Amino acid sequence: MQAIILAAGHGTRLWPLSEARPKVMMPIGNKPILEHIVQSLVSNGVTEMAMVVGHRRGMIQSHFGDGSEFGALISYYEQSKPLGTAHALLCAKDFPRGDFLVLPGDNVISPEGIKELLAAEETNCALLARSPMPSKYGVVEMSDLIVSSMDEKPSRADTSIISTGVYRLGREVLKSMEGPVSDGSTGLTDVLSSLLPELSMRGIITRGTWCDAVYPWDVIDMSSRFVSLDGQSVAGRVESGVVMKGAVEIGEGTRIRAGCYIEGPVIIGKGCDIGPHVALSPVSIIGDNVSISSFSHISGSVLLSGSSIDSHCHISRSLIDSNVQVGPHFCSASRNAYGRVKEDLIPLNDIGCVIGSNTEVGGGVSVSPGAVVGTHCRLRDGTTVRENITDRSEVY
Amino acid sequence: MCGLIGYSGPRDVSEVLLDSLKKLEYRGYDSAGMATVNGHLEVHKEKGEISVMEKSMPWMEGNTGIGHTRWATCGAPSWKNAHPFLSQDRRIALVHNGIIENHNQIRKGLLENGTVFDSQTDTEVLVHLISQYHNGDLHAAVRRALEDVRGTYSIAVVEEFSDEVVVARKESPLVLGLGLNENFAASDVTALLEYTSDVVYMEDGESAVISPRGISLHGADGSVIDRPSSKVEWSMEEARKGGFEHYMLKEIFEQPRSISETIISYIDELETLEILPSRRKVDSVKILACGTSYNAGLVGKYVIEELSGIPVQVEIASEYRYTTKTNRCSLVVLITQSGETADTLAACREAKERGSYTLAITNVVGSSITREADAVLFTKAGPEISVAATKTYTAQLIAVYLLGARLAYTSRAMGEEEMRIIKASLRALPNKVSEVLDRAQSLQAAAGIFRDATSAFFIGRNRNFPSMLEGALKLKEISYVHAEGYAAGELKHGPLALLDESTPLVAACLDDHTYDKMVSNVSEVAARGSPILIIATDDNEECETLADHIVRVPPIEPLFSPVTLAVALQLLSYYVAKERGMPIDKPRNLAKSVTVE
Repeated sequence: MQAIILAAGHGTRLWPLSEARPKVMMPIGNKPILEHIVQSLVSNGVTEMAMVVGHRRGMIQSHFGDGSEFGALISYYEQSKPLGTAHALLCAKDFPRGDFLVLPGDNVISPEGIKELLAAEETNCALLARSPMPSKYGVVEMSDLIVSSMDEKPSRADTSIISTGVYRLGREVLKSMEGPVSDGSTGLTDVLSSLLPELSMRGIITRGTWCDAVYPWDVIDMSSRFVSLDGQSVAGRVESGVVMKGAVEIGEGTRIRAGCYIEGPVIIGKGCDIGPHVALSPVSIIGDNVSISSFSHISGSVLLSGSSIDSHCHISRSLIDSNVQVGPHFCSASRNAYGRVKEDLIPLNDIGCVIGSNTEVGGGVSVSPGAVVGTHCRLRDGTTVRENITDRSEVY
Repeated sequence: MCGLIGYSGPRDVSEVLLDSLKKLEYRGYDSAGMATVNGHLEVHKEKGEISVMEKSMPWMEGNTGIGHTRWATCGAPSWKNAHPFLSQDRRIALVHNGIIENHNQIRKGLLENGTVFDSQTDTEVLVHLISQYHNGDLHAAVRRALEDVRGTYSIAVVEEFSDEVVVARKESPLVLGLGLNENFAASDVTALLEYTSDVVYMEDGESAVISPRGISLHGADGSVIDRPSSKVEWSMEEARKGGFEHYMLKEIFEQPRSISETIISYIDELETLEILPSRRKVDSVKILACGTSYNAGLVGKYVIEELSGIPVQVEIASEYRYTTKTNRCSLVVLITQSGETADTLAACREAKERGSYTLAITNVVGSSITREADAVLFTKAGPEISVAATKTYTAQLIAVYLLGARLAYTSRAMGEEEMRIIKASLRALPNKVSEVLDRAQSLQAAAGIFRDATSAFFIGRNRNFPSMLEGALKLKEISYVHAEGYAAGELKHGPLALLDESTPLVAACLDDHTYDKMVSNVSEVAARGSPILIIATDDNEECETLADHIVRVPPIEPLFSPVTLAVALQLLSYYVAKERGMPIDKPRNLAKSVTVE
């Protein structure tokens, strides 16, 4: 079986994280979402895959190359304009020789889900899941295991069953899609939904894990769900007087200085400089080339590559994007709070803040739970941020 | 990264191995070797590129064999360290990619049993271990030996009087190829495409036995796995380029990684890195290099002087050799990507003769310069295929930053706190480069102003001046447009006469102490009607009125702007050459490594 992964999207809902990378390259546990998908496919023996890529293709291609480092053979198809997922799939229409899998490149899926699709007897299958927010997805109704309707982002949902966007399809479906796509339909769910009568598509509700980062905060929880560590693996240098408990992974060229207290699961990338006397609590993910100075406490947070955290900072249940410079005594405490996305208020459990890439955070800054700071901002010393801040703002 | 290949079938195995190894050469090329089964085992290996091995290759018969091309990351390339390795009784031969982490422990056990080792490599340990467990069944012995092993590997093993090749992998790539009465294994599919497009991918922990009769694939527990083959439908060139149109573009996009790797390997112990003379104080530095490396050296001058206050001279290696012997310089730095550049090697000898301490900056472990120089700083860019240097140049820039910081720390021009700040800036560089790459489209658009140009000027000041020299060199190399890099202040001492409507000007107007001067230089040229391309930082509005085209780079500490600027100019040259339809990866008359004087 071959697979086509749709990786051309921007994922702008994930602002500010989408500024620094396309959503498919968002690191979850120091590995891009797309790499999790490739691994799930390869572990099911699906090694031949096509990626449909868009204008930010360079970052994707330089990560995966020809796929051999990941045990796969990857070819690339370009979607030059963002004309939707159905159009994206047709960009790779010459790729499949027979039945194939289609996967959105921006959702993490566990190997079990792929296995269920491969095991099915029917040619056309949709992988379904239950979601607490069905109206954000394609809502699915079924009769006798066959999908009877799929309604993309309806205003009201009568069921919690949604399409994960992962399908198994026969090659001839691509031909049938051409009509609706040239008529202007853009979403894959919409197009397949219009073809349902002729497809007799089997719906399979997955028992495996499937998750999507809809909002930036979701990345924090996804990171802890997808951390699979066993034991301790240390490639860097750990000075004496460091306490490490539970599963801890430390990358090469990283130095953990004396007096650090690390309670796993914790992943620390390559080339980092941590400590002395830094506490890391579960589940924390530290990217490559991050430095954290003395007496800071990082708890349940994700720090992406190239960031530096000065001394005496408290960062709880937060996400700090790449190349953020944080001054001393920064405080990002967590509690139940609301996050704002445009006009919507989203209730969040035990949450800190999200800080976009390349932002400079001055000394003694405090950011309230649920607040999102954009990229390239400057938060001057001693400011308190209570609400979302747009990209390139300066806060006095 | 190394490459391996295994074959069993009716063809003359030495031909197949040689041919496939050449295709894997992009994975590494500092030593190569092969073993064939012609009743007994025959082994031939050589330090250097595959062509070196080919030249000295004796007549090797047989239809079963294994081959290897190596890119040393530890342990210098030498005949001794080249693969394949033989068991003590010469009955088993093995090639290996990856690292055996617990090789010292296993070695100890084997030594107690009386095994004699020829090398210090982890690979040799593996072949002796397999030999020890060999009880008539090679596949069983390999599986048993791998149970003792911790680390990453892909291996291929042959034994005498057998047409079977046993392979296994863990976290290192390996793919099987299926043919008619012949079968293959290789590090990647490009080595196989000439023979077959039917491949089976192996997964971690799996092993397989290859013979002319077929392939049997086994799980870690020995159980037989039935996995259907996949069909590869693309050409070899396409495969190796990983979806990029040219190697040059692929390598440009690899820079966040190569920069990060170079930083990671040195940053932790930078303060004590042994790259300086131990007894003498460094009071002057001389940098010797050729071509692109020379431009990296010029950036080095500004960087080292700014950080440490120690005066730096940069000379072209082929010129230095023939200068009068002046007083010795306390530190001479040689920069060469390949480590084989003839003029730089000669300059290194000359510098030693003049009594200087020599430090080499190179990308190739075990290259000639690493044996000549007193100390070596390695750039970790990996093999570069495109003739025009891109990722090795920016890795060289990282090396000069590391050297500058190291010198400044030792001479007390920089203390712990400054060191911490420099390190934080270095750590942020890979993402800064990603940001530039994310704007490739704007450089593609800017390339339009060179469509009909026959000549172009690149100007900058201070540390951005050498970057413009490098930008001009790149444009010359791959797009065949005559380009000159100039210090902006020199423009009115001559070249201004050459500027007209058909001569584009590229100017770096970045945020530093030379910005105002740059703007006034550009204004002078604007009056001559030349098309102007300005490279400016994100929030700069002033330049918009001056330029016909503006390319934005992310703001960065001035000290590090040569890195982001270099990447922007690489993309520019690439897109100009592409628009003009040039053979980007292999420009006429040029070779990757210049080994003649």
